[in-house]
Amino acid sequence: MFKKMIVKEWKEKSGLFLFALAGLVLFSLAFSGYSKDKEALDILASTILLIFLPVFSLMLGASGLASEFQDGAWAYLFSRPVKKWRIWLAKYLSLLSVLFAVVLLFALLTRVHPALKSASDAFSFPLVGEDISYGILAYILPLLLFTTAFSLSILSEKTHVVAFLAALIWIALQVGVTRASFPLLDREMLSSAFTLISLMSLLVPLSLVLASLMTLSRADFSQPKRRAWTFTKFGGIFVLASLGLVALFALGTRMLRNEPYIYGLEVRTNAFYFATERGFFKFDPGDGRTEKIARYPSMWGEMSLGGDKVVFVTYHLGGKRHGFAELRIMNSNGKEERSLVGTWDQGSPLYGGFIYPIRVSPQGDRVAFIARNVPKTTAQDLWVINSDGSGLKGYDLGIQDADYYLFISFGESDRSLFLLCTTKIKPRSKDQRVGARLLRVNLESGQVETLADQIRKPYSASMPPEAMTSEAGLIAYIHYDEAMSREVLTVLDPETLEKHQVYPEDSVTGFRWNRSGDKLAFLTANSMLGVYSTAEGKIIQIKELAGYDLRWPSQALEWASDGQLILRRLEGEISSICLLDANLTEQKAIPLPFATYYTVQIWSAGKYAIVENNENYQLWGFDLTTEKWLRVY
Amino acid sequence: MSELLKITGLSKSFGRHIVFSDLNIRLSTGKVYGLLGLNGEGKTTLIRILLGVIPPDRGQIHYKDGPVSFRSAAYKEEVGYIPEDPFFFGGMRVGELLDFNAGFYRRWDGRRAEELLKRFSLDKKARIKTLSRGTKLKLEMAVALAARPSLLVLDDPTSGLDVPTRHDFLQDIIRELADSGITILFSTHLVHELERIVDHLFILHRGRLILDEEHEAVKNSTRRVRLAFQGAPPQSLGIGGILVESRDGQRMEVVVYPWSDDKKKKIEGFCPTLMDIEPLTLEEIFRSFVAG
Repeated sequence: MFKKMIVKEWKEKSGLFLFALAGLVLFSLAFSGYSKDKEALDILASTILLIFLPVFSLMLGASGLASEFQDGAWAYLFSRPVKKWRIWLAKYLSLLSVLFAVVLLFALLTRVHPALKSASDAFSFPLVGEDISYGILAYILPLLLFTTAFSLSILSEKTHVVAFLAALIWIALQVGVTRASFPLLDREMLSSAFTLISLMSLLVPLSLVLASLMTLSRADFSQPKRRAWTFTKFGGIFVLASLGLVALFALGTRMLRNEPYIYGLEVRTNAFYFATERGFFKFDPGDGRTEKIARYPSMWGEMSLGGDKVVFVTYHLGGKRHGFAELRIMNSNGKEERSLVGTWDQGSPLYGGFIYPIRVSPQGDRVAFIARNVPKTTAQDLWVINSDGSGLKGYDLGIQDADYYLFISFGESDRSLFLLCTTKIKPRSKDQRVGARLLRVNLESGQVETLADQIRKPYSASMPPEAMTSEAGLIAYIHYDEAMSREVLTVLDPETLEKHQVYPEDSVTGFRWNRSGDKLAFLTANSMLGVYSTAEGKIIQIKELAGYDLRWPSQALEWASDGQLILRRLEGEISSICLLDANLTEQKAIPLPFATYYTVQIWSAGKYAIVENNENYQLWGFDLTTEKWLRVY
Repeated sequence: MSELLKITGLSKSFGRHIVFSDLNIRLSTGKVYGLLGLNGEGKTTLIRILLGVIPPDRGQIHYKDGPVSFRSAAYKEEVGYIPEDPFFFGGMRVGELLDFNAGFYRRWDGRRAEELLKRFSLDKKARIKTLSRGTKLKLEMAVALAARPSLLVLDDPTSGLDVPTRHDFLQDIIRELADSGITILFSTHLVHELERIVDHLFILHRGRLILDEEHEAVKNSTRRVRLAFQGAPPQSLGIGGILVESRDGQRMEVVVYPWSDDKKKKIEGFCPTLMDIEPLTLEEIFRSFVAG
């Protein structure tokens, strides 16, 4: 029966097929004179992929059941001894074979015709290995469009109406899902959006297929209005069910993560601040309590502390300000939260800007931030605003190839600002490396100086840039010294601009200032642990380590509040944190309260050593006095 | 005679329009059934439900031993169908339509199809849209018969055909099929055609089956009575089953079903000066039934 049906459909649709073929040939002939013009060929390929094939798929699908309605042949077919869904399937497969004959013939044409070479990537088979999005356009999209239109063709014999309706559904689907899914999304925004759109793009045609089959098995085809109503009813139910399924899926992926992702952390002597997608939290090491201090959610958790001020960036979701960034400020106890500056005002020089990173001055009275992708004022990247919202001022850093900036600190009583800048310059050879630059910006004159270059690991090792500076204001950084081919830990005095190489004997991989800023601990490529004293201007301890987990060195090291050093150890599946005394001798090892394969970062806040479980986004604190673990978050 | 098809409590309406309600029909093997009704009385709807082409609102259909529903397909293997306007795939050729249908039926008999083509003088290569109405009907007949049906359902097939073709069709084929043991349900509004071939009559009128009787019995018990009286005819003859009644001065005419000697005696009690009792043709019987 299937074979006969295919023969019948091919005979009926041969006109449409030949028309499509003629169209393809004419298209390619029209462009054959431009076989060397890449742009023209791209236009040709995308015309065929984005317009010709989709329209053909829609028209072919929409004509699916129409021909049987026009002359009442449905009654004849239904009186044959065959299940109605088999008739549906036979017609579907028959027309699908017509569709793919066109697609494959075009694929063949791209191989043969020199002018269409650029489109041939799209039709390479199998899909993987090449750019998959082209494969989707070439094969998957026509299939889904065709299926949608075919299912809808049960509604009416008017092919153009059905094709238009199918197109409308698809446009609405893409726009609707994209918009609706945005608030559901978080850090995996792009991949989640893609998953949701793909899911809906599959589920909607599937729903319509089911509705079409249900209509077939229930509706009275002699009554077109009732038939249409039955289809609409089932289609509506199934599409709503798919929407629910996708929403559940979206929520489920969020819920399945036991705890929301922790974006950013800030540690001060007596408080530990962190941002999650649920808002901002403060852990008080004094009483061991965690409290939520701001209701605003955080996107990427940009947050900075200074004095008693916390400054953070939030992105608006929904409403008129949807997608726009806003800089907000509050007291460190979460009180007096207010807006500092927004990016939604078309008249503002920050209109549409992407705010990252931010930095508040030590006394909390000035806030610096970088606003990128500002269309009208691209010359000004750096902005400074007073914490009462006044005195917004932009600075042109004059770095054409800037990739991203990281703030280090305010200096000279807030008169200048230190920041790192990475550039977009790509290494010319495998051995060559391009590091970041250390800049000083005079906030009064706007003058920009480069204090050092070839700075390594400003960010890739997950070291927060603020950790480069001590509370006394000294800046430490790892500089690649070409003469020695070594990464040298260097301390810079921002007042005198004096530089001191701390340990030129070995490449330094990570370092950490102590709270008072008079000692700098560091790890080297050869597993040495050293402590440098700024007061004495020399290394006061150095020791070779064995048995410690030194992966991601910048995270592997921390000072405890009592001056002990904390390192990690991994034995089998058990991670421990180890406390080392002033002589770098291990005093005790404390197993973590959870098993993890990941490296855990260690922070110190008051009497607590805090670690993050990356697998379920929990924070645990170890009370160094009572030697007990406490769930911080 | 075994029961082939049983329909019980069948109802169907289109929106607020009730086509029929609570129909009960039984078909026995090997008989020719005439389904009579004016145009628009739901003959086609009934047949479409019976063939599973459209769903009923209520009611059951039993074919042979088992119930069949709108979703059943297997019993259609044994049911041939000649639609009212059986000419859909105009672009196909005669041979192609046979091939196409051969795919649907397991009981398809290719040799019989060939024989039927020859018998009906059908050209395999001819395009269906070029055929005359009569030829198309023969083609559909060939398709239906090649599948060796147990039940053949014809939905007003002869409307629009010329008289000789109709005559051939009915005389030759239907009778022959009936003799070979195929049960036939023949729906029509051109009643006189059934006169010589039909065994049993159904009349569908205003949503109800107003007649379900053997052809012979109907003919034998339907009578037209012409009466004349000295004065005005009586207000009522006092008998039941009067299908049609007309008066003209001292004259009166009634069609009575079922006719009986009792009724005759009752009428005689009114002392008519003239009493003329005559049988009716099938056409006249039908008109009488649907006149009310």
